[in-house]
Amino acid sequence: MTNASGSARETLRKQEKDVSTMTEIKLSIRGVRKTFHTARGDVEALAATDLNVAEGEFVTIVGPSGCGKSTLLMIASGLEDPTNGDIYVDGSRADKPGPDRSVVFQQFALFPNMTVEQNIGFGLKVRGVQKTDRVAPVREQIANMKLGGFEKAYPSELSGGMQQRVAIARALVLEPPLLFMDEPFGALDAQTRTRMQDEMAKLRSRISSTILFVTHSVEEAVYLGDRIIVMSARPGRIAHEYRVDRNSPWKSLAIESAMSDPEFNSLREQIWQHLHAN
Amino acid sequence: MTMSITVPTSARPSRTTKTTVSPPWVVTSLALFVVIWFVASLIVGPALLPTPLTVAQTFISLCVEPLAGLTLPGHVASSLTRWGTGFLIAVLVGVPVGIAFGAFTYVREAFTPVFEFLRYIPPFAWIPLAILWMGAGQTSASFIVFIAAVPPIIISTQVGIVNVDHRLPRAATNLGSGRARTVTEILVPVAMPSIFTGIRVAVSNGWMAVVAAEMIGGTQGVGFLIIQGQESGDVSVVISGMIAIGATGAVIDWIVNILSRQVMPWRRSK
Repeated sequence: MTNASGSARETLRKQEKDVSTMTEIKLSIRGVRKTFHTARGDVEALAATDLNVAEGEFVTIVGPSGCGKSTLLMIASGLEDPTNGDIYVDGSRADKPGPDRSVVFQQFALFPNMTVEQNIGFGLKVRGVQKTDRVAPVREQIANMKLGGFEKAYPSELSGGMQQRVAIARALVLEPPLLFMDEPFGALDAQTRTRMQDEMAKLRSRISSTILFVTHSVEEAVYLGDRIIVMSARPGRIAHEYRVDRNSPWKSLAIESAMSDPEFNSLREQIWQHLHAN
Repeated sequence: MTMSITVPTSARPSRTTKTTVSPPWVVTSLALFVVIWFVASLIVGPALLPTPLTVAQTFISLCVEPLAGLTLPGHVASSLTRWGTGFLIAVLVGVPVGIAFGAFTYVREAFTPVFEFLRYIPPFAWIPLAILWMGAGQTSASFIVFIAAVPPIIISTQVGIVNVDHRLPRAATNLGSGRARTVTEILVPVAMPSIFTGIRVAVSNGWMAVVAAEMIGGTQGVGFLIIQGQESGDVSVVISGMIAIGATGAVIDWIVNILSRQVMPWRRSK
């Protein structure tokens, strides 16, 4: 392989990549609506919603409780069925939930009967990966998620923050093209939460997954998202959308420092006003 | 102030791990019981209630000299065989049925009405039928044990499966697990404490049932032995048999309790 053709190929690949990040839609939510039947009649939890998420994008969804943001996420992951509408992944209709659309739940949902190792390795085991071949990827996740020394511990022996790290590791070990996070830090105490937000920002640069992240924290949404979707309630719908420049200087700071950045703050203010206007 | 008793009463397994009594209390409790017994026998007279010492002598002699064909340990072993057969079948049938009831709604809906009707028939009401069907012997006693042991196993297994945090099967599905794997690797292990609660209730239900079955239509066993004591008017034989019944039941329960901790290592650390 000559130098010239090598660099030409490189240029071509770069172009392709640029084009793909501009146009290639990883996840497409089309006309998704959800109605719940209750004793007092039908409640529209989610009005018809469209949302496209580009390959590699980190989209945060913020909104008041009851705005259907978690419902939207569960439908996108295939774990809940929409009343109307469809989910498309890579341009084709997705129906069955599965490890290509990994979910990290707010309440961790770790398997209490399995150790940290077994929890993280479960998805690989299901996939048919042999026990000996599971060791390395599981070990890598344990190291990345700072869970060393707790391989043989059961979830009940771990703190909330550690449990959530296991849950994230359990999803990431499958290298999911799509990662859905449903208020993953909502159940953590303030300090742990801040630490996890910083870790999430770092993690994002390490993995290639396209991420849809639901939160009720405006700061978290602004800090982590390339794009912030603001939802409003009754019925749940997308009200506003903001894009954040990934190269903004505060993006590389820890969240506590980022929060004193004027740009961060003005964005936060705007979103707050939308939420209060509801 | 209540002493904790080792028989779980509810199907919720939340506190089954800490029901054991510390050794000094066991000694004090038993000693107090013997003293009260002794005083009572002095009041009512040894013909109605022999002293603990008399019963102890009878107990020991029953252990060496056969009565009604077997020694006391022989009768216990004989009862245990029947109990074991019925109990084992009850576990083998009850756990899968309970899992099916818990994990598959349509199975539950199809069978629950019949099951609810059947389980209100006391196991002892089955004894005449069992004797008519199978004769007065080993098989019918085992059958009665089965009838007595299977409902708590089915119910606790079902309750255990239904009460598993609904997010766990969801997470499993999300990780690619199929229904069968989710049931065997998540639902059943997580429901294990509740399943064992049912098994412990089944142990005592079954043990009581085998004694009752032997009393009505037995040819050997502890139940048969105490009926022999009643017919010959020997109160100390009856009480010796009762002591053997109580002690054996407690030992079986203790073994099951130890076994349950082996099966659920993740519960030990709590």
